[in-house]
Amino acid sequence: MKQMKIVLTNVLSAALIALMAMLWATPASAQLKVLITEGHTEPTPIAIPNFLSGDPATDKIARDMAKVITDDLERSGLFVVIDQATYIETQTNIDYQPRFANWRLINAKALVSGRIVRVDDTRLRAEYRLWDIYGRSQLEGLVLIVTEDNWRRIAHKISDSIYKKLTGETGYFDSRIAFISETGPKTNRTKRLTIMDQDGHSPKYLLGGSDLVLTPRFSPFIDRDHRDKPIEKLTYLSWETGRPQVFLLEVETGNRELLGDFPSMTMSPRFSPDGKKLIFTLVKRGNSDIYVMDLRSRSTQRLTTDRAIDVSPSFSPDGKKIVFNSDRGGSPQLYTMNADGSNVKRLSFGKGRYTAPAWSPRGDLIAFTKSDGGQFHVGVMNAKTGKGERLLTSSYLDEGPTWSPNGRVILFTRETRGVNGRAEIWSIDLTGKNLRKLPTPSGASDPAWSPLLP
Amino acid sequence: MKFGLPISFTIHAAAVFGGLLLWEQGASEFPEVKIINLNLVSVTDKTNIKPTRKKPPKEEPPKEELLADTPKPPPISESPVVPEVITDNNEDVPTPKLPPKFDLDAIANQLGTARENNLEVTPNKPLQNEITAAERADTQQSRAGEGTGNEINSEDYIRQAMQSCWQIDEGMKGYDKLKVRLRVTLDIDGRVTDVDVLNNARIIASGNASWQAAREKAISGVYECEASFSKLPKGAYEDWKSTELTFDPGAMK
Repeated sequence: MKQMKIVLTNVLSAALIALMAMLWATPASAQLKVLITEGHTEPTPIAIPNFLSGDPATDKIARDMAKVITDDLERSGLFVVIDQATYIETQTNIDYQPRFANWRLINAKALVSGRIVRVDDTRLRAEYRLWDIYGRSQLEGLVLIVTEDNWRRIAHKISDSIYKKLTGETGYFDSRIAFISETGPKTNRTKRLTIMDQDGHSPKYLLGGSDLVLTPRFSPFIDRDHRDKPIEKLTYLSWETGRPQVFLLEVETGNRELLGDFPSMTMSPRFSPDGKKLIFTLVKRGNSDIYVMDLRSRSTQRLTTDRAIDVSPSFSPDGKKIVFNSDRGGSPQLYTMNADGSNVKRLSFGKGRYTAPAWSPRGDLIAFTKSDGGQFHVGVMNAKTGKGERLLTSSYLDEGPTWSPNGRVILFTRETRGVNGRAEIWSIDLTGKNLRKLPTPSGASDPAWSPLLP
Repeated sequence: MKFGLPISFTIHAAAVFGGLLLWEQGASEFPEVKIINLNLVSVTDKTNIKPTRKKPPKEEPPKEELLADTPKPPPISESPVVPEVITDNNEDVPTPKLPPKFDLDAIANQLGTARENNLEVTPNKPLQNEITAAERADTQQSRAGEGTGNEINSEDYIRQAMQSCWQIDEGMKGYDKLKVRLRVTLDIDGRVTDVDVLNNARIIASGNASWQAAREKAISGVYECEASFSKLPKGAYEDWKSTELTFDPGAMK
């Protein structure tokens, strides 16, 4: 019996070993591996039907809201909205899943469905869902409540939400643009500080046209007043006192203030990322240097001491570095330094003149104006190394780049030649694509992009 | 039935060993045969010669000795050959030259000789290596497709299809570092039955919304390409039923 057990154990062991050997010898099901390094860069086709509305009084808003979202997304250059006339499916209730096959047939990759419901006499509730047509799933669902006269902002907020879900980056649609409205010929031009939505809607003059104003810049940080209402701040250059001086303006209240009554001219102001400091150029005895002002104590500190012209400072988004323009090397070039003025390094080494640097909110790039060979360009370069320069635009006069709050789009001034030449604001995508003119009520220059509104 | 289980194990073990032995025999080496050297005719042999009017080939079959020798290719000129114009004027007609040494009939004869010289075969029985070669060719053909000349292998086909379905955004910060790895399972009709994100843990842990969007774009691209996958060669289904796709926009720099 014992021998039988030993034999049995041996047989079982042999069987087990044989089985393992067979498994080992069997080649694993070979998996095909494919490396894909190239894709297409065409805009994403998206379907945006009119929002549903249960009330005839809100039908127009429901339609207009879809139109604003359509315009926002198309203007970004990253989306193409499919013509509503081609839609196969008519949605009657956004709470039901759409028939994805119907939207795939018209090549939509995403579908936006929305509904407007009146809450009371003054307020509306906007609901929207974003569907991934090929993934057959809902990507986002939001409910927003707003006063009726503010429906455009809700549309921009929905655009931002769609943009973020589909690109992974924060949007920029619920933001505003300050600029200088220009009327009259070049020799006698009236310039007024103006603000409008980023899509050109609702322009408003912030100041009268009696004094020359230039270079408005938003505070990247939006304060709140004692009633918790947001307060947007702008700094700008004005000849109000008879010489160029830097002013601070609260957009919502209209309160304005002269920042430091310096005996000589101050210019090119910009806020620090936390909104607590202001950096600017002060000209003393013919020498322009960069100074920083603490906005609470109003104390100033000189950052550059070179005898050259140092102008146009701009903080990095972390507030640790400053890029500025100086001719200390013989011609205007870009330099960086620490926020305390130490460790000055030359950044640009290219041919031509580099001016008006603006540090990207993403932190990786610096936009600039470059003039070379009789042409002006807006370009970008690596913020750390100054390498990888890319000129995005070229014309008779392109200048003054400003970044969208997400660092994706650049606005700049383009001016045409001649006495009757007109200044306009144009936008371009970071990739150098999607060059567009911004709609403005008159000639426009010196754009500044606000942070996203709260 | 006290020994039922051990007997069962013993029989199974015997079956496994037997299978392994048969398997080994099945994978026996090819029988030795004579290797036939075929002379390849390069394209230049045909394109670098001057246009001629050939004499009709002689009736007598070519001699075997001629085929055994490697034909000397005509010298390749350094400068491109300018084709001459052939006119109707008899004086301009170049002297007819010998027909080219490449002759399919002669090659067939040589093959026949090889078969005769091989003692292992009879005229009606194919050689073992001929069978294997034919089977291999069938497999290759099924992987390549219908043999239209426009079809490519599964890997290249999937890569090309995905290039038109996968959207990349060059303006996204650090887009070239947002690598996404997917395991895609397809049914025999090319329908996507499962998509598994192989580096999903890293994508989620990074908290990088751009990376997450890149993941969604890769998945969406796979589904968008479903129609293209339906044209994958069904004979090679085992090759592509489970495919690992690596989307790496940084690798193209």
